[in-house]
Amino acid sequence: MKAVSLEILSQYENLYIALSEDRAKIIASDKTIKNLENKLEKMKIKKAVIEFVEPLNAYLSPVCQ
Amino acid sequence: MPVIKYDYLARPHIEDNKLFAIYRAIIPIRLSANHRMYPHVINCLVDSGADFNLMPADIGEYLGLSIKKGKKQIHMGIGNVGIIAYKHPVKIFVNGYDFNTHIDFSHDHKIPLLGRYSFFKYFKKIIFNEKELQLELKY
Repeated sequence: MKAVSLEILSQYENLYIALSEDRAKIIASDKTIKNLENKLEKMKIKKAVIEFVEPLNAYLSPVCQ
Repeated sequence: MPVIKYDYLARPHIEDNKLFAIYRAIIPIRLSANHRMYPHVINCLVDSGADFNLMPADIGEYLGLSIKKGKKQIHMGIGNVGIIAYKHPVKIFVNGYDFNTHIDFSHDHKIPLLGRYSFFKYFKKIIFNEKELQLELKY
């Protein structure tokens, strides 16, 4: 399975992304999950993989953001 | 003992203007609550430093939950920064394994987290294999 490259992921810092079911490409992004869900609905995509892309210059600790 | 294995996911990080990979224990889950199934897979960070599951409120709202009607919880992070979340019953699906548990939903939180008391405890053993960059969930 081909994963999305770091270079491409890095363009989505601080955004929620929707990956295709095979995780091979990013099909939508937005600042909020709600807006991302709406975009997917308009695109008639019923199943995607949702993930938050963390800020690139920060490390994760037991975190409340 | 059935085992579910996930490779850590390489995620981007920049330091000294160089892009490199941070490998994280991020796993795909499905979620249901309130007799509704969330349509999308959610990639979550398996976080041994988190006491409970914590997710953005948008996900719970999609499932028809009245977020603020849940039990109010305070989640404290590094630097003593606290956020308010609300606990709701959910069902979590991990590969072929599912269980009823709770998720705390917050309007102030972005990264879906799976914590010890509401995720880890449903497994007999969870191994963070740092050498193989792989997470093993035994149930």
